[in-house]
Formats: sequence, C-alpha cells, structure tokens
Amino acid sequence: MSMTFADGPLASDSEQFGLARSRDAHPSDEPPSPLGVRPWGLREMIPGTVEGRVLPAFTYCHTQQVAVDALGRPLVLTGAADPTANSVTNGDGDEGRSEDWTYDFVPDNPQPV
Amino acid sequence: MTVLILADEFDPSADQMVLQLQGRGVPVCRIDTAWFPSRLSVDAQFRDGRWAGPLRTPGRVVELEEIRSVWYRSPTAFRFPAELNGAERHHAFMEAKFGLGGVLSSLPVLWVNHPARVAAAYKPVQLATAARCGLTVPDTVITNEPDAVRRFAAGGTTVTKMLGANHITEESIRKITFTRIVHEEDLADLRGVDVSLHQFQRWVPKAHEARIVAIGKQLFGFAIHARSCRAQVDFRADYNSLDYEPFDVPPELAAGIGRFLAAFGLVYGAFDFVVGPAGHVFLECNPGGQYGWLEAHTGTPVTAALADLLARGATS
Repeated sequence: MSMTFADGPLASDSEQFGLARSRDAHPSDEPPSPLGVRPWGLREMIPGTVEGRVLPAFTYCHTQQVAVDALGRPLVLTGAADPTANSVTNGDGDEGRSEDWTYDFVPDNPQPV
Repeated sequence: MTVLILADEFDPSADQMVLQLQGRGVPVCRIDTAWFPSRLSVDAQFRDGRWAGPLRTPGRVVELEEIRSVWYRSPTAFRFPAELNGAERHHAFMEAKFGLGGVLSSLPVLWVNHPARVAAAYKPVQLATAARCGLTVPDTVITNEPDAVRRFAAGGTTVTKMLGANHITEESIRKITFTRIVHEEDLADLRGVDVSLHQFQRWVPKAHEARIVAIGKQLFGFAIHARSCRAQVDFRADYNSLDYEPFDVPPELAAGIGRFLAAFGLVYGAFDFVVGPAGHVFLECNPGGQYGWLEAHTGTPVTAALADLLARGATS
C-alpha cells in the first residue's frame, strides 16, 4: 500500500487529513437565500426530526478509552449507546451528538474551525 | 505494538473496537484530534528515515514507532483557545493539521483507511472507477444546466442526490435531505440549478438495497429491505421501516469490489447497491461508512473482523 498522499488533484491539502466537525462548533444562524439564488438541490432540505432516542449523557474515560455514564460504566455495555438507535435525523437545533450518529459522515469540515 | 484509533469521544463503534482489542490483549490507544493542544501533545523527531517519538494524552503515551496500525475513524477538529482571533485560529489549525496530520500520515503501517485515500474518493470518480472495475453503475448526469436536467429526466424516472453531505445547518437548525424522485413540478421550476452542480440519476428498479462492508479481503453483505415509500427511495430516510438480512456476496461482484478497493488504495469500504432486475447496481462506496447498526441487527461479527485486520497490521 502506498504511503504517499493520493495523487488525485481533487482533494485539497487540508482534506488529505480530514477532520469532522468540532464538538463546540457554532451552528450557522444564516437564513436561506432567496429562490433562484439558493442551490436547487437544497429545496427539499427539511429540519431533522427526532425519530429515535436522545443520545445519552456521557463522559469520556481516558483510562477505559470509551464513553461512560455517570457511574463509569461503558455506554456500549449498558445499552445506552445502542448503535441501532435511530438518531440520524435528530435535528432539534441543538446539534447535540446527532452528527456523530449519522450513518455516513463527511470526513472533512471545509471551513476553518 | 499498538493499534491507534483516531475517533471522536462519542463513537459506539470505536468503543466496541477498544473493548474488542483489549479483550484480545492487543495494546490500543484511542485519540481524538480535538484534544490537541490542551490534552494531546506531540514530540515527533525525524530519525532513521521516519518519524518517532511520543504522542501524549491524559491516559496514554504512545510512541509513533510502536504503532502497528491506525483506524482513521472520524476524529474531530482541533480546539484552540477562544482568545485566538480568526486569522490566528486558522493559522494554528492548519499548522496542526499539516504537522500532526503529516506525521501520522507518513507512518508506514496499515491504515484503515489512509485519510488521503478517503479524500480522493469523490463520487464522480467512484462511478467512473466502479465502471472500470466491472461494476454496473446507473446512468448519471452532473450538471448546472436546467436544459440538461430536463433532457435527462425525459428519458425516464429520475432521482436527484447530493454529491457530498446530505445535511446543512442554517437558521441554527440542522436540515437534511435524501435521495428523492424528480417530479414534473420539480422540472417546472429549476431555478437554482445553475448555482452549483447537481447530480441526477436514472431510477434503478429495485427489490431491495444492499450494503456490502469490505474489510481487507473479507466481504459482509447485508440486504436492506424497506417497508415504507420513503425508505424505498433512500433507506436512510426511514430506518424504522428497515429489515436486514446477511447474504453471501456473489464472486463476480466480490471481484469488482476488490478491484475498486485496489484502485483507490482502500482496505475498508461500505458499498451501497441497488438489487433488482439489473443485478447489483453500484451507488457509492463510503470509505468511512458505518456498520455498527448492521452488526447489531444481524449479529454479523464485523467488529471482530476489523479487529483481526487492525491487530494483524496487514491487508492479507
């Protein structure tokens, strides 16, 4: 396997070590552009609805190297972080951790964070 | 020799992997790049032709030369002091990215997947590569010309889908869209098509969809059956209506997937296909696609297979 950067011209330098959205990134409060200016593909964008479980409160345990609950128990062992939980459209405006439970993620944040 | 996992602090699949590797007695170090610089420091020195030295976190110290493999899951952006102005923040971000990203990217170990390979997998490149690899791909047009949209749509049922992320945040609200069928009323008002590129594809008649998770040379097929109209068009639109069923990947399809992975230098991929009268029709490959919910529903040991690969530190 080659260890060099991909030689494709499409990926920017920054994208070649893509990082996901920062946990404390501020959501944009800008309104949509007028019809005709807004990209057509965004017309059917709808607020994500909470159809699944609310993601659990957690802290990260540096010793166990997993997310844990208030009692220090790994969430994946208590069922609190059930990967079947449907929160992909969780879009309550709080952002929360919903983006981390999307079933596919965008590997880079195009804006400086 | 340590398995390095680069992941967000909240990532159930990464949690499962940590427990899996620890259970096998395989040293593992999990890092979120968001810890840099307050909780992650780097002392990388170039010697004997490679980068060596420690990465220090609150719970671990891992030597770069002791890393056997890296699972590049979905680490999050660095966090810098709030006091930095915008230019300073951007400078610090990029220096950290080129520095830490560059040091890590140069490690001559197994990457699942190497981030630069992930970055190269743009959707139009994927379609062209898939076709070259013998996979069937849908008729597709990418355009910002309204007349081209109408011309293509006149040829049959058409869907539109994003080339990149299917969600945005505006008005402080997270908004989302899915693959959807283009109707006559859509075609009657195409204002905004010219603003950027849009992707349109011919609707592929489907019995169901399938996600095939490739881990090294192992393939795990999952048929995804939709019980709602929304999920019939895009399974992501209604997870509550889905049923899952493992299946064996046909040899010819497996060969095509293998060629695709090799073409991009990937060792992991989550492939999505439409399954119908035309056979398996390639939609896309997500080099970082999820598998946790499929494993949970079917009991297929995907985490164990990925742990095997990471612990082995080789692709074969």
